[in-house]
Amino acid sequence: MTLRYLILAPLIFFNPLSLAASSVELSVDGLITPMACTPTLSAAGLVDFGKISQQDLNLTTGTRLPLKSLNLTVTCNGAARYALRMRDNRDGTAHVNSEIYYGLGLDGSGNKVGVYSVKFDPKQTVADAVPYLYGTESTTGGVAWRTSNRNPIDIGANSLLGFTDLEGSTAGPSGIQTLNSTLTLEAVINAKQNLDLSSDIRMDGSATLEVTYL
Amino acid sequence: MKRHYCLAALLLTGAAQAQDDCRLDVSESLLDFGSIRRVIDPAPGPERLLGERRLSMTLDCPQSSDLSVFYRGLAASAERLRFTQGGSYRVHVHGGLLDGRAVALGLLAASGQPPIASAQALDWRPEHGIVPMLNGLPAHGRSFSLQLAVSAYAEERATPVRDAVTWDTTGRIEAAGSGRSRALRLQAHFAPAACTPGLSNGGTVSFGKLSINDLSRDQDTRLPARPLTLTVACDGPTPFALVMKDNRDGSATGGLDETAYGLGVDARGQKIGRYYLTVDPAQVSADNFSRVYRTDSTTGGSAWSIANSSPIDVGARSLLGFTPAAGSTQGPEALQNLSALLSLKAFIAPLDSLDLSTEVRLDGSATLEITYL
Repeated sequence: MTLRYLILAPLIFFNPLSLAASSVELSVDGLITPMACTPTLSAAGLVDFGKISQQDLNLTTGTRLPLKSLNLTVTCNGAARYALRMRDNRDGTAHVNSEIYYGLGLDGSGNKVGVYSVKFDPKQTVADAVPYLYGTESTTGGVAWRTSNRNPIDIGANSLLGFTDLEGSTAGPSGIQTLNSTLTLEAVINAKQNLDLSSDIRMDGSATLEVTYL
Repeated sequence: MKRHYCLAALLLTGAAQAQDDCRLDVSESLLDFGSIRRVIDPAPGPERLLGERRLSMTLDCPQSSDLSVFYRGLAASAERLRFTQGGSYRVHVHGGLLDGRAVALGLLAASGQPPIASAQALDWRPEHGIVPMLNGLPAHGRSFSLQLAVSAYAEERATPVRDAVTWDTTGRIEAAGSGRSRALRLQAHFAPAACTPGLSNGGTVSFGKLSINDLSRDQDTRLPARPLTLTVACDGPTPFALVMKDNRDGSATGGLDETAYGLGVDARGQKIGRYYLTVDPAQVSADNFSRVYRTDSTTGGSAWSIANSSPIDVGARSLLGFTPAAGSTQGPEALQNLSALLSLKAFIAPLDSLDLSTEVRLDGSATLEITYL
């Protein structure tokens, strides 16, 4: 202990920089967790609407396409607390600006083709041996969670979406090892008058579903 | 003990000699011009006034005598005295009273010579004397008092200091007739220019939870770059540079690169990874300059690289500064406010090298310092 003081004291008194320098601290934190969850989407995550005739598109309003279902499985190496969000790889191409609407790309003239949203329904979701699952969301990156309930949730690019076995809880997601959910994808094509239909228009949505560990 | 006796004897002798002699007093013997911090001067000039201090001097003698007093000190110019290397001071005298009567003052180049100037108020030149004047002639008397106004100046180029300094100088007022003298000590303190650095989000960059699923087993995993805003606010235009010390020194994976900072070690002492803090001059703004360029010094500020706009990682030893002059090798420009969008790039070591029996905490810590040039 004495030796330690002897070594430290000269550093404090004779380092000229400590007199002249103003400073600020930087800290870098994070946690590497042995938890590992793998999300898998049915049909390798591909949703195909096939060909849509331009005669079926509304001229002045958006055209709602038939709902599509897809299946999501999240498998973890143990019970893990996690949440989901989805990043838009076609960011900026949605003609409605909201974190739950994802873009379908641009047509040949740079017009926004349309949007889609993906709905998670707790009633269509099972996890481990939990009888009832409840949905919850956080817009604060996991700091605060809204009261859990059974209402469907459209997944967002920034908000976190999770599930818990507790009803009316604000504690956020509970630990789940295996989760299975039937998702509903709803696409809306932009009004025909806003599109360049001189050639075929490709619907080219792409998003990445992320698991965030809590 | 013998030495002490000796000293006491000397003092007694001196007192005895002065007993029937004159008495010289000054109302203030220490003139403190306070603490000066470098701030923007609304009217910048070659020098600045540090302040004026007033005092009085009285010379009393038992019988009518020569009451001329001389000022002894290093001359800075004809009118001023030296206040260390970077400054000067002026002693202005007025309000002369001889035996209670207001008198004019004469300026003497040497004792016994006729005055070279005479006025109610004048500058007391270095090594010159002041004598009371009656009817245009130097007069004798028993009491002479004088008001002094001491103005101190600092050369502007001397005021920016790297470390706190105190200017300290002494002049002497000396009575020619009796040889009595009084010291006049001048002091001024200079604080180093202060710059305050700040980082967004309190300087914390958080990567949250990273799953082993998303990290490579056998090679480094590059995490998405994190933005970080640096601001530097100075109390005046100041040439400065940045360095960043690693508080987790030795824990960075990879080589001994001064720009690689450690993320700490796991439970078994294995290095977790490293990060770099990148400065892109295109993302830096300072004062009213339309563009700034970066320059760095690996010689502690002796030599500077050619200022350019390519991004650079902050280092633990190299100094990093900014200038609006592209291609300059003159080093950093004096800047008052700087804002930079930095990018923090972190790499996690191959998982196979880490102990994953428990969670592994990333624990980077560094101190970004301002170095004044």
